[in-house]
Amino acid sequence: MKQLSLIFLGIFTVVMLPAAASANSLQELINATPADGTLQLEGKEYEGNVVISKPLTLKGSSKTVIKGDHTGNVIEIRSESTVLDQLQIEGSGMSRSSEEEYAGIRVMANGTTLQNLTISDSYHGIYLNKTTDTLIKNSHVIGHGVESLGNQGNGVQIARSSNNTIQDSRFEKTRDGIFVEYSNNNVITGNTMTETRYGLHYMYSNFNEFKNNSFIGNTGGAAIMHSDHILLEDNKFSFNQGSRSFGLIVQTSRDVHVLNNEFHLNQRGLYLEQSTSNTIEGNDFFQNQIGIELWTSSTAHVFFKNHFRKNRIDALTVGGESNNEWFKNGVGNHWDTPLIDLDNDGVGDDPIEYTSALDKLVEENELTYMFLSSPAVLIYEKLNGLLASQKVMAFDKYPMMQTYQGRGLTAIAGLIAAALIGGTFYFRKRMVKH
Amino acid sequence: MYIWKEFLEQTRGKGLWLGMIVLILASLFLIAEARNFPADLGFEAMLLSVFDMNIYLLPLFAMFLSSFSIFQEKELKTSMILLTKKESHWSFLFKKSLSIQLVLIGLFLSSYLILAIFMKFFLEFHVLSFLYFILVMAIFLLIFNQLGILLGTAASTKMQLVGANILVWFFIVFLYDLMFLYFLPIVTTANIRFFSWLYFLDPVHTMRFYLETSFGLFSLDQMSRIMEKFVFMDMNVFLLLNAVLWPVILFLLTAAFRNGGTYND
Repeated sequence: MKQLSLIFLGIFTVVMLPAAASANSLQELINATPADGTLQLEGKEYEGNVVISKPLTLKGSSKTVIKGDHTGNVIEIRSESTVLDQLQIEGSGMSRSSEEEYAGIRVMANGTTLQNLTISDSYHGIYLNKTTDTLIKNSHVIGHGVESLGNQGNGVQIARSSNNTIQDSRFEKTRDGIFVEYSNNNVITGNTMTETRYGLHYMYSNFNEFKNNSFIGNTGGAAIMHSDHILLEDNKFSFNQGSRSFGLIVQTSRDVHVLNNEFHLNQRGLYLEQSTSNTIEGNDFFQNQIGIELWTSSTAHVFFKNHFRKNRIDALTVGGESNNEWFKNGVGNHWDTPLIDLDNDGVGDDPIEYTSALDKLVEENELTYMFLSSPAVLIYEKLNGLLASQKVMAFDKYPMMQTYQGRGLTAIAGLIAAALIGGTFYFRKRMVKH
Repeated sequence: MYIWKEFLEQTRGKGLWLGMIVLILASLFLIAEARNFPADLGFEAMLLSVFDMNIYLLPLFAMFLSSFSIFQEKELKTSMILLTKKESHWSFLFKKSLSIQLVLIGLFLSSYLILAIFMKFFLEFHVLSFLYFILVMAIFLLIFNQLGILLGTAASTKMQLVGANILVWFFIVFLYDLMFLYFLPIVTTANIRFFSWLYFLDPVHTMRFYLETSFGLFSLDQMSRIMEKFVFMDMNVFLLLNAVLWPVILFLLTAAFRNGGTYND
């Protein structure tokens, strides 16, 4: 009798175990959660892929992982007002020959909130497709690195989706940090994009705002293409280096307002091509190889209140005569050139004509960028200046006096002065003794 | 014996101290300025700025100090004493070169270590990047010290030596790149390999590019076709090639020009 009970117990276990496991699967748990309810997940690994078809909140803890099977989207959101909070998501399909490009999270409904998420090992991190009012915040998407750019997607892919907000998130090692196409009225603030191809890649999208983002160490910082009425304010574009790299490129776009941004240590700070009527105001161009590279296919731009400091070349106009203004309403730019201001109105008494002969070289051969840091460039410019073969790159009728003061320099100068005075006294004392 | 003698001679002279003080002071300004750099790669950008400043100063100091060191051996007839006693020309040149290299590289690198204290004080210090920098500076000194030894051996008067040092410095720092700039318009994908060899066999180019790529300040990803052809070899190989090729060639030339280019039977 005892043996018989054991056999029955064994059979029961074998038959029932998969069913029990299935009852605990994430999809079952989601299905069992009522609409507008909250599903609190444990700090363990759950198997994807799952589909959310009703409004609910999926909340995890610091150790909650949802792992896809590398065949599709790990989480697909088909219902409005869904919230995902504090989850680690990984393992979407990576195929490039499938019907769709997969993602860690694919959003196909409006009003979704995605927060405190970490997404890795996925083709796209988050894919918004034909949605509105999505909020992404405090999230982190990690790609496969620049070595496999062609085999992976973007941190966030936004297609035909409007009124979305992305804030305080980090995107690294993906193809593009945030890719936006045919999507209007998005607000992107406080994010960091690093080690990507383009930190931000923007196509055919109008009326968008980018504020307080950092684009650091990408092949290209941000690319605004075929898009109008854009505001870029208080962003940092730095260390975007490479022979073709730039902090920000504005291409075939108009009414782009580039306001109070920092362009530090880029190959080219700002690159303007085939664009018109953009305003470049109050930006800081510091230690770039080229501060602003302006192709003359770009016209009717206004540059004013910008600071140019220690760039190898402050402004380069390539490809013939250009039609751009380097001042507005009696306010020009702060150039890295000593000025005389006898009437003390903060504006230099003479206009500045910034000239260079490097435009032709840059136009003819990309390898010119390899020589921009060479001491020979200074002699090349001087020689061409003497031979009068330089071209006017920028004409600023109202150049502003520099207001920048370097931090730490005073301390160092004081230290050196003290050392020199001390040294002089010491040696004089010794000489007197002898 | 050679190393100790060289150390005493260099440290008792004013040239070395002048060189090191100028180098440290100029670098200090760059370090202070780098506090304004964005934090992520600010340290690396500062090191690159220090390297750019060194392009002007270090070849001059290295060549002057090493060339005058060997020139003095000729002028004070100490080389003659050494050669008549036990040394062959080869072993004398080898030992002298080795002692100059060890002493100057050691002393200049120690000044970078002093600078490291300031770097740590002002910036977020990255050890690996600093080691890359030290490696490159050691190779930099190795090549230009050896160049100085060649000039010091070949020159027969002090005036000649000063002139030769300044001329070579001007050629390396300014003229060589100026030639490149004027030839750039004729560089195409067809002749890019030749151009690339000329470019990367200039140790200054190679060392700067090596630093940029090692620091992550220059991306070798997403390059254009012409750039891919241009950087056709690993930068480590280019650096090694420069570190070995130039000192060896310059040493052999030094041996050939040991009597100012003249031979006595």
